[in-house]
Amino acid sequence: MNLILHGSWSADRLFVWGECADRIARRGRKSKVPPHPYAAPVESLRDALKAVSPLADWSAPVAAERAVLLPSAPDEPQVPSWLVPGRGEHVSEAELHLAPWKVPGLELDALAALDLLVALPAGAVDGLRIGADLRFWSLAAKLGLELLAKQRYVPGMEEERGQYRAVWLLAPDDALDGERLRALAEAMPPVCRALSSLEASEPPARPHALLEGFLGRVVDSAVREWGRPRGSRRLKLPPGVAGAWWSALWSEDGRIVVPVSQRRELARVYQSWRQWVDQLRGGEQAAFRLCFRLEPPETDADSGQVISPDWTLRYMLQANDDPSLLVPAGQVWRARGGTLRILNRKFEGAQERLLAGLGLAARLFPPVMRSLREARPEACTLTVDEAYAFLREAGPLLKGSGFGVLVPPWWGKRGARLGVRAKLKATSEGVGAGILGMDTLVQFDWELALGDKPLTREEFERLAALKMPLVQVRGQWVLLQPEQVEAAISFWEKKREKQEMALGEALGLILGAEAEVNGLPLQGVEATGWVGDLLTQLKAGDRMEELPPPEGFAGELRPYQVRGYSWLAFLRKWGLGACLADDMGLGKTIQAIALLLRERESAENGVGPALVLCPTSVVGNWKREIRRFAPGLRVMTHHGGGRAKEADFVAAARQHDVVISTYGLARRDVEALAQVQWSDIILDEAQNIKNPHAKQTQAVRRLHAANRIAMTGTPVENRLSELWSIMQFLNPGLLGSEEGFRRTYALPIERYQDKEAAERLKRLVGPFILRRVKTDPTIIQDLPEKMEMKVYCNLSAEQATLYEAVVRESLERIESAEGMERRGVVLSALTRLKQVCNHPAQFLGDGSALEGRSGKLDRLAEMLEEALSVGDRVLVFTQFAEMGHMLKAHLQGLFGLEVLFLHGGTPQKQRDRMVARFQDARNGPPIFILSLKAGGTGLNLTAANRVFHFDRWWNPAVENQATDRAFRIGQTRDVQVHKLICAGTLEERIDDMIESKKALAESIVGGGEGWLTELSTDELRDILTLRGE
Amino acid sequence: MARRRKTHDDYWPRWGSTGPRLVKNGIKAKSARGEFVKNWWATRWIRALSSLMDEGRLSRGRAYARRGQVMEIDIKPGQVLARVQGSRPQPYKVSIRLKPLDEAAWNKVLDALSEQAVFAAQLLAGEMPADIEQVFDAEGVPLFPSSSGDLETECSCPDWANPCKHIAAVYYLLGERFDEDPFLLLELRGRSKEQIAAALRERRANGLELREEPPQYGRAGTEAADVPALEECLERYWELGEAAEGLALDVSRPEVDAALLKRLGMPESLGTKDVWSHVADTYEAVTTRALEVAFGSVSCR
Repeated sequence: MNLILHGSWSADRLFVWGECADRIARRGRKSKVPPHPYAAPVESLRDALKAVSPLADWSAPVAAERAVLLPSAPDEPQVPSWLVPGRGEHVSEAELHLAPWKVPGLELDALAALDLLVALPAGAVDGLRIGADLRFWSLAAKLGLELLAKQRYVPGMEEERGQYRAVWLLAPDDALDGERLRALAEAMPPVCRALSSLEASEPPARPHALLEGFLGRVVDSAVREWGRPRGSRRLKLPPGVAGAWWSALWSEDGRIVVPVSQRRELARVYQSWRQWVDQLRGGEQAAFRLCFRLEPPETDADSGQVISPDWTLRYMLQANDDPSLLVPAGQVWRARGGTLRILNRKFEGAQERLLAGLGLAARLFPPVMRSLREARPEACTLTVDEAYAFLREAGPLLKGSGFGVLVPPWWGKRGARLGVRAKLKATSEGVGAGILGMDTLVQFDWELALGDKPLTREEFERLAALKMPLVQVRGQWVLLQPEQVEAAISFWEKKREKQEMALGEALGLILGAEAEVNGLPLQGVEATGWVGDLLTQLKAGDRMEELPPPEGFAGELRPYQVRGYSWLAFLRKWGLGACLADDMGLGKTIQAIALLLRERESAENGVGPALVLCPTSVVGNWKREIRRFAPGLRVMTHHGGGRAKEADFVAAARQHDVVISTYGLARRDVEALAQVQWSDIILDEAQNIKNPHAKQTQAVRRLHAANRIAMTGTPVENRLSELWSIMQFLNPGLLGSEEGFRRTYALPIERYQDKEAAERLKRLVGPFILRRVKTDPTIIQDLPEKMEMKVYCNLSAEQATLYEAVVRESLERIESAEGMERRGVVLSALTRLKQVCNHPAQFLGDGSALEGRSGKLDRLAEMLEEALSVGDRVLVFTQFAEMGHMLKAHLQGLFGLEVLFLHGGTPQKQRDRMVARFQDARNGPPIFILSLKAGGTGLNLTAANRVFHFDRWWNPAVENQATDRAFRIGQTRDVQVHKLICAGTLEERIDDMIESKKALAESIVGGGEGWLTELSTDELRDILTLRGE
Repeated sequence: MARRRKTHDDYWPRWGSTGPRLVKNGIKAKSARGEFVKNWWATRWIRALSSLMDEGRLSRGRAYARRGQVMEIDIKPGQVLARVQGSRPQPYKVSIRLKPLDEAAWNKVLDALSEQAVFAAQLLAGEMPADIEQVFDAEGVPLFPSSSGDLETECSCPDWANPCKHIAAVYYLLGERFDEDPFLLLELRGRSKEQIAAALRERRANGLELREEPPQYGRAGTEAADVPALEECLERYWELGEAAEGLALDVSRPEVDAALLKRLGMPESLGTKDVWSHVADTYEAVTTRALEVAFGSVSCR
C-alpha cells in the first residue's frame, strides 16, 4: 500500500482523502472540477484507517467527495515525485498555480476523527504515510483531549435565528491555552484550508476559525458521549425550560424543544446563561491585572523561629505582557490621578482595576474580604489553614479566573513533601570478582524523609500532632496532608518487614523510574558499598577509568574508542547490558572486538564463545573486522546452507572464540544456539529486535549469555517501543512491563511531547546507553583527516549463483580468446560481475523487483536509514546510470522522500537546480545519487556529510575526485566515506590488491581499469572466483 | 395536542378595549415570570415601591415592563425620565425623582466609603456592599426610598392614582438595571460612577505622598497577523509551521476539579442542585474517559 493519507476539517466533518501512485483513467464528461488523477479510492482509505486505528469501526464513515485546491501544473496537480516517479519534477515553481481537483474520501464525525488522529503513527507504516495536514489535525485533536481532560468547557447554549441548541462550549483558559491556540493556528499547513464542497466554492476558512470549529465540535461530541448520565446516575431534571436545556445537553442533536408558550422563557434562560458565562470574559484587553503573592510567615534571621504564625497574601498589579513587572498595591494607592506609569507602560484606572479585582477575588477566596475593611489594603493575613487552602484550591481557581498568582518556590517541589528515602546495603562484599546480574539481591533500609533529610519517628509524630497542613521543619516549609500522614503511619508499620529487592528493580528506583513508594513520594536513594561505587561510575558514562587496549589488538583504538571499550568492560563486570549507540562510522564493531579480546586475555579459566548476531548483509564485514583487528580470535560463521547442524554446531562453537550468525538463523536455529552458554551476545543493528513480539526477538531472548551488548546507530532513545525491546534484552525488568512502559513513557513522550517523562526516561536508561555523535568536538578531534571505511556486504544466494555462472562462462571465453578480443572479453566479464554484485536485476536488465535480492543494496538501505535518522545528507556514487535509476526508484519508495539523481543525460539547467536543492540543508532532499562520470567533477556539494560508493571504479584517483565534492577546504573531518564491497568477490580481491601495492597501484592503475586486462588467466581466475567465508 | 386559537399573546391577560398599544422596540424585562430581580439591593428597591402601591397596579406595571411598553429610560442624577406606551396614541411621560444627597452629605458618605476599600471593591466588581446602607443612614439619607416622601413620582396618564402602573413599569425596569450595575442607584442619588471613583481616589490619597513616574514612550502594539491567501502559500503548501514543533501538551487531570463551575457559581436560575451535581459528575467522567483514550487502547465510542 503506497498511500499518503490526507484530511482536513470541512463542513463539521474530518474529510479524509489520499494520494496514491496509481493513475485513475479519466472517464466520462468533462466536469467543472476535474477528478484528481492520483486520488486514492475510498476502499483503500478504509483499509488505511483500519491499519492506523484497529479499534474503531471504520465501516461507519460515509463516502463523499470534495473539491481540494492544490498547487498544479497546467494539466494536473503536483504530486510528490517520490510517490509517482517522474511526475512534477520538471515543473518550475513559476508554472504552478492553484486549481481545484475532485477527490473521493470519507467523512469522519468528531469522535471518529479523534480515534484516527490520536492514533496516527509517528512515521510511515507499511507504505502508509501521513500528510502534514493530518499531522496538524492530530496535534489539534490532542490539544482537544487535553482541554477535555482539564475540564475547560462549560454547559452552554447557541442561538441562531430564534432556534436554540444546547452545546458543551469550549472555555479555553486565556493564559494557558490562548497562546497555544494562536501558535497552532499559525502552524496550520495551507492545504488544511483548501477543501470545499463540489457545488459551491467557498473562500478558504481562516486558520483560527477552522481550528476553533474543530475543537468546539470535538469537545461537544465527546462530552455528550462520555458524560451522559447513565445507570444509577439518573438525572432529575429541573422543571420548565431549564430542564429542556439540560436534557438537550446530553441528547444527540442538542436541540432545545419547548412548547411555544415557553419561548419567551427560553429566551430569558438564554439571557441569564449569557450573563453567567460572560463572567469568563473581561480583563482580557487590560494591560495589567491583579496578582496575589503568598508569603510564608517571617522568621527571625538568628534563631530561625517564626516571628508570627500568620501568612501574608500580598496584592500587586502585574503587567499582562511582562509577568515579571509587579507593582505593589501600596505604590498603586500612591499613584497620582489614578494613572500609574511604570517603565514605559501606562496603567490607566489602576486603583479601580485593583479594587474591582479584589471585589471579585473575595468571592472565590473569602479571607480577602477581611483586608477590604482597610482604606488602602495592601495584603491580607492568613492563618495556616487559609494559606493551605489558597495553595491547594483558591490559587489555581484565581489563576483560572485571570488573576496572577505567585506561590513560594518550594510549593510543588519534592523537598516540601513528606516522602521516603531508601538506604541501600550491598549484601555481599567483594563482588567485583564475579559477574552480577540484574537479579542479584540487595537490601534496603527505608526511612521517612523531608526532602533530603531523614525524619525520625519522634520527629514525625511531633509534626503529625500539630495537625497542620503546612509546618516548618528546620527552616523549611513542608506540606503535611492528612492522607500523607496516614500513608506515613502505615509505612512505619510495613517497614519492619525485611526489604530486599533485585538489583534491576533497585536500579530502577535509584535512577528515578519510580515516583512513589507506598503512596509516598520517593525522595532519594542512598547507596553505599559496591552499589554506591557502581552508581557513581554508571553516572560517569564514558568518563570512567580507561583500560589499556588489549595486547592482541592489531591496530590502534582512537581515544574515544578506548573510552567506549572501557565502558563496555565496566558494565560487563557488573553484569549489566550495554547499548553502544555511537554514530555510524565511529567504529562500534572495533570497540566490541576490543572487549571480546580483553575478556579472553584476562580470563584465567577461559570463557565460552561469544555470539554476534547481525543482518546477513554484514556477516562478512564482522568476520573481516575481527580477522583484521583481532587476528588471535578464532572466528566461525554460522550462516548459509552448509552450516553445522545442532550437535555439530555446539561442538564447533566451543572450539571458537566468536560465532557470527544472523537474526534469521537465531530464530531458525534457536534450539542449537540455546544449548551454548555464551560469554557474550552482541546484537549488531539491534533495531532488528525492535518488535518484542516477533519470533526473532523472542528467540534472541531465549539465548543464555553472561553479558549482553546491543549496537545500533539510530538514536534509539527516540524510538521508544524499540528502546523497550532492546532494554528488555539487555537488562530485563529495568523498564517494567511493556504495557506499563507504554503508558508511563512511550505515549506521553511520543504523542504528547511530555518533557518531564522524557527526562525521567533519560535518567533511567542513560547509564546503559553510550551514544557519541561525530559532530561532538571531543570526538571530531580524535578523528583522522579522512574517514574512509570499507563496508563488506554478503552476496544473496541468487547473486552467488549468478556470479559463479558468469565467472565460469567468462573464464572459458577468456581462455580461448587472444589479443584485443581477450581484452574485450575480460572487460566485459568485469562489468557483468560488477553488475551481479550490485543487483541481479541490473545484470538481468529485466526490471524485476529489487527488495531482498542484493546484499549490497540491503546494506546501503540499512545504512541510509541510520544516516537519515540522524539528519545526515548523503551522496551515493555509482558508475552505472541504470543502477542509479534503480536506486532512485527503490530508495524513494522505501523512505517516502524525493531522491535526486544526476547522470550524464541530465541537462545543465537541471543539474544546477539539483545541486542548489541539495545544498539547501533545511528543505532539500537528503539523498543525492550521482553517476561517477557525470558527478565526479565540477560540482560543489558541501552540504553532504556522508558519501557512499555503491560500486567501485578501481582507480583511487577517480573515486577520490568524486569524494572531494563533499569536502570543504580545510574541513574534512565531518565527512565519512563508505565504500561498499561484496565480500569474497572480485570487488574485495581487487581492493586488496590496490591496498597491498598502493605505490604500485598508483602507477599501474593510473589509467583506469585497463591494467586488469593484462593479467594472466590464472591471475584472473584467482581474482574472479567467489570465495566462501 | 390541544387546539390553539390564540397565538403569541395568550400568556397575557386581556385588558379589554383599553389594552395598551403594541410597542415595536420597547424595553422588555429580561425576567418573564417569577422574581423580577435577583440581587438583594434590587429586591430592596422593588420592595420600596410595593409598600406604596396596591397589588393590582403593581402587577399590571410588571406586565407592562415584561411586555416592553416602556419605550425609553434616562437616568440622571436625582431623576429618571421615561416614556411609556399606554392605550392612548401619545406615550405617557413618567418622571421619578429621588431626593439627591447634597454636596455636604455626599462628602460625608464618600468619606465613610473611603475608609474601607470593600465598598469600592464590591461596587466595581458589580456588587452592592452589604453594609452600605448604614453609611447612608448615618447621613440621614436612606439609600433606598422607604416612604412616599423619598420618592416623587409623576405620570401624564389620566389615572388618579400615583404611583400608577406606568410608573411601576419603569420602576421595575430600574430594578433590573440596578441588578446589573449597582452604581446606577448611586447615580440616581446624585453621583456618577466616575465621580465616585475619582472622589474615593482623592480621599485615598490623603496623607500619602503622591508620586508621578515620568512618562516614557509607549510600546507599539503587536499587529494581528494577516492570513495570507492560499495563492501566496504554494511553496509551503504542505508544510506544518515551525510553531507546531514545540507545542507543549499536558493531557492530565485538572489541578482543581470542576474549576469553571466553582469560578462561575451554580445559579439556581439555571438549574437545580441535582443538575449541577450531575455536571460535576460529567466533568469527572469525561476526564477519566479522555485519559483512557489518550493513554489506553480505548475507542472514543
